[in-house]
Amino acid sequence: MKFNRIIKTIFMADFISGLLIAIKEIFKSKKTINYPFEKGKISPRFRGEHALRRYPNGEERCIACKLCEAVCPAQAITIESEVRNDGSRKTTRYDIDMLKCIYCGLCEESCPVDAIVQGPNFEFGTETREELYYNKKKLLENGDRWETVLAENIKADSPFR
Amino acid sequence: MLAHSLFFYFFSTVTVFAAIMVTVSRNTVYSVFFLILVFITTSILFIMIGAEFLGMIMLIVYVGAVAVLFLFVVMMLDTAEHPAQKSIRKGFVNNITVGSIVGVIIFLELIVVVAGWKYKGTFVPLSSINLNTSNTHALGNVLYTDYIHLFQISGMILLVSMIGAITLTFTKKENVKKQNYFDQLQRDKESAVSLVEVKSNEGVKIDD
Amino acid sequence: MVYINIFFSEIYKIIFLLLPVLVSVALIVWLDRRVWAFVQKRKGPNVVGPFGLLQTLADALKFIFKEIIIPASANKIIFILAPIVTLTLSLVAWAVIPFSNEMVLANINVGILYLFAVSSLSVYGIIMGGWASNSKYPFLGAIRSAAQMISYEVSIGIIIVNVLLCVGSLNLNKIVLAQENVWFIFPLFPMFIVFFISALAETNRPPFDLPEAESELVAGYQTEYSGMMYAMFWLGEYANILLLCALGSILFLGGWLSPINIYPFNLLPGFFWMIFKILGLFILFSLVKAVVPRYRFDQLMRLGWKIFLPLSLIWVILTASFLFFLDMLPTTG
Repeated sequence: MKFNRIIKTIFMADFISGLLIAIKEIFKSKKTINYPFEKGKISPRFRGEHALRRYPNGEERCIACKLCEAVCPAQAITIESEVRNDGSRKTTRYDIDMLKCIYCGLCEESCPVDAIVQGPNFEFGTETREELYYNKKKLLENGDRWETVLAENIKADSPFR
Repeated sequence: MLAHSLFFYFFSTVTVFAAIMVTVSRNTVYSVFFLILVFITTSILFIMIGAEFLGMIMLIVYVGAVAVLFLFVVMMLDTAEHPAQKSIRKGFVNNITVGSIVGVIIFLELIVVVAGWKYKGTFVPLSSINLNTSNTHALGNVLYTDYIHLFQISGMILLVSMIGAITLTFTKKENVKKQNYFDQLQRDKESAVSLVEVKSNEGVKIDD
Repeated sequence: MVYINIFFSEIYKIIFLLLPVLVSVALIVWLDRRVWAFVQKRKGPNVVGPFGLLQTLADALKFIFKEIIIPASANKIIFILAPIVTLTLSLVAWAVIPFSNEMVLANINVGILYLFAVSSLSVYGIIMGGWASNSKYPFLGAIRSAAQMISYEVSIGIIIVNVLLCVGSLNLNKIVLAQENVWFIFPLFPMFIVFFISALAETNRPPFDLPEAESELVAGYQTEYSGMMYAMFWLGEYANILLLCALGSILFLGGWLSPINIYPFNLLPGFFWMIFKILGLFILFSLVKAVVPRYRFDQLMRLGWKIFLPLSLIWVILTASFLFFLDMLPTTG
C-alpha cells in the first residue's frame, strides 16, 4: 500500500487525474446565466421592492391600520392618516426607508387588505441615498406598474397562507 | 566608433557616480540599490568590450543572487534614516586617519595590479586561444584544461563554506513538534479511520 | 546620419515587437480567466467585444481613470519605481525570443543567459514594491516571493544546463535548430515537468501564489498599489508568464519548428508554430491554476531545494555521461 502511494506521488497520479477531470468539465454545459440579458426564475414568494396596491376601481387598498408600521422590525415605515369626507380612513403619508428595510416580509404578512406587498423586482439600485426614501407616490406607482405580476403572485401563493 | 565611445563614457560615468553614491547615501537601502546599479552598468561595460559571457554571469550571480541577499539583510535591519546614524557620523574626525590609511593601501594595491598586468608573464599561451570562437568557448577551453585544479579547489571551498553555514545555523530543538510531509502524504483511509461497534453505556476509548 | 538611420530602424523593430506582445498579454489575461471559468462551469467574461475579447482593454481603461494612491509613510521614489521595473524587465526579455529563423530582434550568442539574467532581475520589482510600501503585508509578501523566486531560479538554471549540454551553444536559434530531429521534451521529459513546475513558482502562479495569498497576506506586495501602477504589476506578471511559456517552448518543444517536417505541416510559417506552442503551454498553466490548491510555504521550499535541485543535478550528470559515453557530445558551434 505504501509503495503504491510512493509511486503515485512520484508520477503525480492524483494531479493528472485532477487535470483530466478539469479538461472534461470544460466541455460540459455552463451552470451560470448571462445575467443582465437572461434572468433566473423567481419564486412567487420573492420579497423584493415594495408596492402599494389599488382596488380595481382605482381606490387605494390601504386603510391606515398601521399594523405594518407596528410590526416592522427595522422601523422603516412611517404612516400618517386622516378621515376623509366619506368617512373612510386613508393615509396621507406612507414612507418606507428602503435603506433601513431588511426585506423580512412582515409588513406584507400583517396587512389585512393586501395593500403593501413585496414584488419580484430587485433591481432598483440608485445613485443617491435620497432616491431610496420611498414615499406614497412612488409606492403607488410601483403598485400600478407591477399590478399584474403582484396579483398573480398573491393568487399563486394563497393556498399556503 | 563614436556611438560606442559615447555609450562607454555614459555607462562608466554612471558606474563611478553610483559607486560614490553607495558610500555617500544616508539610507542603507539606497546604498544597496546603487550597488545594484554599479553591478548592472559594470556588466554592460563587460558586454561592450565583447565579454558577453562575463557580463551575463555578472548579472546572474551578483545582481540576481548576491545583491538580493544584501537587500534582505539591510531591509530586515531597519537602518533607514535612523537617528543613530548621526552618532556614526560623529566619529568622522577620529576615524579619518585609519580610513585614509586603508584607502591609500587599496589604492597602492590597485596600482600594483595595473602595473603587474602590464609586465605580466603570459599565464595562458596565447596560441592556445582560438580567437575565432566565441568567448564562452574560449573561457571554457582555458578553465577546464589549464586551470581545472584551481577550478575544482574553488568549488571545494564553496562547498565547505556552504556546509559550514548550514551546520552553524542548523539546531535541533527539543520538544518541538514538526510536520513530516512524507508521513502526511502516506496517510490513507486504512491507517486513519477505523470503524468501531459502540456498545451502549460503555462508549469507546479514544486516545489510548 | 548613419547612426540616426540605425537608431530609427531599431526603434521601429522594437515597437513592432512590443505592441504585439502587449496586445497578446491583454488577450492572454482574457484566455486565462475564460479557461478558469470554463473549468468551474461558469461563462467567464463574455460581454465586452466578441466573446469578451476586449474585457482586458476595458479593465485597463478603468485602471487608467483610477486614482494612484501613495501611502504617506511610503518611500515615494522606490514605490513608483517598482512597477516600472517589473514591467520593463518583463518586456525587455522579449528581445531575444526567436519567433522564426529570422524573426528575432537581437540574435545574440548568449541569448539563454540573457533571458535567465533578466528573469532573475525581476525579483527586484517585487522586493522594491514590498519594501517601499512600508506596511506589513506587502513586506511579508515581498520576502516570501523573493525567497521563492530565488529558490526556483536555481533549479531552472540547472535545467537550462541540461538542455545546453545537448545543444552546445547559448544561442536560442541554435537551441531550436538542435531539435530538428527530436524535441528535447522526449529525451528530457522529467526535466520538462520540473521546468514547468518551477516556471509556475517563478511567476507566482497557483499553486505557488503565496506572495498574494489572499487569506493570509491580503494581496502581498501589491496591497498598497492602485490604479495604473497596479495595472503595470499585473501586465508585468502576465508578460513574465508568457515569457516563460516561450522559454519552455524554445527549450523543450522545438520553438518555431513544425512538429513533423513533412508537406502539410511545414506549409505554416514557423511564427505560427511558435504561437501555438506558447498558447498550448499557457492553457496548461491556466488549467493547473484551476485544479490545484495553494501550497504551504515550507512545502514550497522543500519542493524546490530538496527535490527539484537534486533531481535536476542528477539529471545533468546522467545527460552528460550519456552523451559522453555514446559519443554524442555536440560539436562546438
